[in-house]
Amino acid sequence: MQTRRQFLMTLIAGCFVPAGTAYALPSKASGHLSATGKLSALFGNNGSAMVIGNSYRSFSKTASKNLSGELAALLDFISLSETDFVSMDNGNLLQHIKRVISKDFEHGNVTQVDGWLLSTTEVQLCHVLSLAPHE
Amino acid sequence: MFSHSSDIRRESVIDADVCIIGAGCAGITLATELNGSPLKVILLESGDLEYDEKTQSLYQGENISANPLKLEDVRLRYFGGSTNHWHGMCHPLNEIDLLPRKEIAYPGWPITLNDLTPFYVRAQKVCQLGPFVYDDENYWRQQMNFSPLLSGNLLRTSFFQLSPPTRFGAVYREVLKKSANVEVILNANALELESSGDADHVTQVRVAHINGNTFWVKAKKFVLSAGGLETPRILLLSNKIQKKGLGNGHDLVGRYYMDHLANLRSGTLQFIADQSKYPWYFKLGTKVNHLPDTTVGVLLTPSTELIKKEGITNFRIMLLPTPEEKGIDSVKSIISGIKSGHIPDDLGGHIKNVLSEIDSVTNLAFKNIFHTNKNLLGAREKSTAITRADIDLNMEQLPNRDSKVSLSGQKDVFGQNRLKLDWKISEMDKKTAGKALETIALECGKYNLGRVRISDSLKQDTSFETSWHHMGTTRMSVSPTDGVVNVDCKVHGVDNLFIASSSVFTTGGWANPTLTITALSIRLADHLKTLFS
Ligand SMILES: Cc1cc2nc3c(=O)[nH]c(=O)nc-3n(C[C@H](O)[C@H](O)[C@H](O)COP(=O)(O)OP(=O)(O)OC[C@H]3O[C@@H](n4cnc5c(N)ncnc54)[C@H](O)[C@@H]3O)c2cc1C
Repeated sequence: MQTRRQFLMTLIAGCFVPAGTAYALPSKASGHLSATGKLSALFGNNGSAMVIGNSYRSFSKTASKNLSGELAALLDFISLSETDFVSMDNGNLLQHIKRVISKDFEHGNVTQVDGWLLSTTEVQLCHVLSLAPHE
Repeated sequence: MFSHSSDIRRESVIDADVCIIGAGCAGITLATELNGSPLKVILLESGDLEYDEKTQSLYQGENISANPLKLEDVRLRYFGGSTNHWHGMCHPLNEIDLLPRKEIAYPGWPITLNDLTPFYVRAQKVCQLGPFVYDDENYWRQQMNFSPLLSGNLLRTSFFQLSPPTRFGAVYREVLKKSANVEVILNANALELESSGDADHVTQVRVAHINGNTFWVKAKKFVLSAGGLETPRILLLSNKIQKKGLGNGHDLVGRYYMDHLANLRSGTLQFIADQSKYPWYFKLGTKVNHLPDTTVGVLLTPSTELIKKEGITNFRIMLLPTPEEKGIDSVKSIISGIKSGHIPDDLGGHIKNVLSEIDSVTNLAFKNIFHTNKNLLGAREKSTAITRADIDLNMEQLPNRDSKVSLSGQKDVFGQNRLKLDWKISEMDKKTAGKALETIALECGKYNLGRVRISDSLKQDTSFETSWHHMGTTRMSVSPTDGVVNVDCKVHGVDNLFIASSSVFTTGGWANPTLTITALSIRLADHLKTLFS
C-alpha cells in the first residue's frame, strides 16, 4: 500500500504531467507543485484560486496547511481513488468534478467564502491550489 | 362633476347616498364603477388636481421604526393619490397567499382566489393591462418565445404585467367630470366620521378645507379609501363615542401593518452560463406587440412546495444587471503579483483597497476562475459575456400584531393627531430573506448558471426598505375579534362603513398591491349597488 508521501512522489515522477508541458521535473520540495499540477491545469487563474483558498483558510476552523492531507480530502470529496484520479484524462475529470459540484448544490453541501455560497468541493479545490507552491 | 371645498358654504351639510373618502386608485375606481348608477355619490379628496406642498405636509408623522422612512415621502396626497408616481407593476395575489398557512398565527383571508378572479379580470382593464394571464409559462412561451432561466422545483418563473402606468387622476378625470351622479370635491379633508348610538352607524363626516372652511357630508353609506396608512388614522381619530376609535372595539385598527420588504442588493449573481439567452429576466418589461396593452416582466418566485417545506413567506427576485465594480485595479495587480511571484511594492495601499472592497477581491477571483476559457466548471468551453446581476429581493411580511400605526402626540394644522408608525421586521421575515438567497444560490449552482454572494446586510432590520405598499391595518376577517372588516369590506360592528384599500389585506403575498386594490374596489362597488337595489 502506497503511503500518501509515496503517492505524491509518484505524481512527481510525472505520471500525469503531460509530456512536453512546462512542468520541469522537480528540484527538492517541488513535489507538491507537481501534485497539484493536474489541478492547476484545470484553472485559468491560480492566483484567483489562491485568493479564495486563502480567504477560506482565514476563517475555517478545520482547514489545515497540510497539502497532502487536504489533497486526500479533495479526492475523498470527488470520490476518486488515487489511481482513477491519476489515470483519468482532464476532460473526463472536469466533467466528473462538474457533476460533483452540481450535486453539492443540490444537497446543500456548500461553504460561504466572503459571502459567496460555493460548493464545498470547489472551495476545497481552491484550498488545495492555494497551498501549492507556485512558480 | 368637480367642485372645490372652498366653494361650499361654511357649516353646510351635503346629502348623498354614498360618500367615498380619498381619490386614489381605490376611490376613483369605486366612483367610476358607480358612475351612471341612480346613486348620488360624493368623492372627497384632500388634495387638488396637482401636487401642493401644504396639503402633502398633512401626511407628516412620527416614525419609531428601525427604518428611517418619512411618512410624507411614501405616498401622495392629491387627486389620483400614489398612482401619480407608481411604477405600474401588476400581478394578482397567488393562490397560496389566500390560503391558511401554519406559520401565520392569525386567521388568513376569508375569501379565495376564485372569489377575486372575476374582479381581477375587470381590474385589468381599469389598470390598462392585457389579458388576465400571469404565470402560465406555456402561454408566454408562445407569445414571446420565452424560455426559462431556471426550471427547478424550488424557484419558478412568474410573469407580471406593466401598466402604462395608469395615472388614475388623469385617466379617469374626464369620466368623473362628465358624471351626472358623481361629484368630486377637491381640497376636502375628511377629519372625522361622526356616528350615532353605540358607534354602530356613521351619520356624517366632518370635512374641512386646509384654510379652515368646515362642512359635513351626510350619507347612507361611507367608504374609506384614503390609503393603507390614512384609513386607520381616520378611524382612530373618529373617537367621540368609541374612545379607542371607530371600529376599534378589539384594538385591531392600525395593527398588523405590513409592507413588502425590499432589498435591492440582497446579493450578487455572477453568471457562468450564457445569460443572453434569457433577456426577459434583465429588463423591466417586454412589450408583446400583437397583444394590446401588454408589457410583460419576468421574476423568480418560490414554488408552493418551497414555501410550505421551509415555512417561509412569499417572495420575488428580480435580476438587475450591474456594471463592473470600481477599485479592481489594485486587486488585479495583487493577483498578477502573486502569479508572477512578486509582491507589489505598494502593498499597504493595496491592502487598504482590498480590505475596503473585499467584495471586489472575491468577485474578481470568481470572474477569473469561472470566466476564463480554462475555467473550472465550463472548462474549455467558450466563455460568454461576463455579466453580473444584483439580486433585488422583495418579500411578503409575516402578519405581526405588534407592527402598527397609532396616533402620535404630534398635531397637524387641523389640531388632529398625526400618525405614528412602528413598523416591525420579524425573525421570520429575516429567515425568509436568508432562505430566498440560499435557494437562488443553490439553484444557480446546481444548474451551473452562476454563483451567488449573499449580502452581509441581510441580517439587519435596516437593510430592508419600504416598497410603498401599506397593508394590513384594517385586516379582513370573519370574526370581529380577528380583524376590522368583514368579507364585504364592511367595518365590523358599524352597519354602513366600508373600506377600499390595501389596509384590508390579511396577508400581502409578493404581488404589488394595486391590481388587488382595484379588484376589491370593483367588488365593493358591485356590493354597494346590490345593497341599494
Ligand atoms: C413610488 C411608488 C411606486 C409604486 N409602484 C407600484 C407598482 O409598481 N405596483 C403597485 O401595485 N403598486 C405600486 N405602488 C403602490 C400604489 O401606488 C398604491 O398601492 C396605490 O396607489 C394605493 O391606492 P389607494 O387608492 O389605496 O391609496 P392612495 O393612492 O394613497 O390614495 C388615497 C387618496 O386619499 C386621499 N386622502 C388621504 N387622506 C384623506 C382625507 N383625510 N380626506 C380626503 N382625502 C384623503 C389622498 O390625497 C389620496 O388621493 C407604488 C407606490 C409608490 C409610492
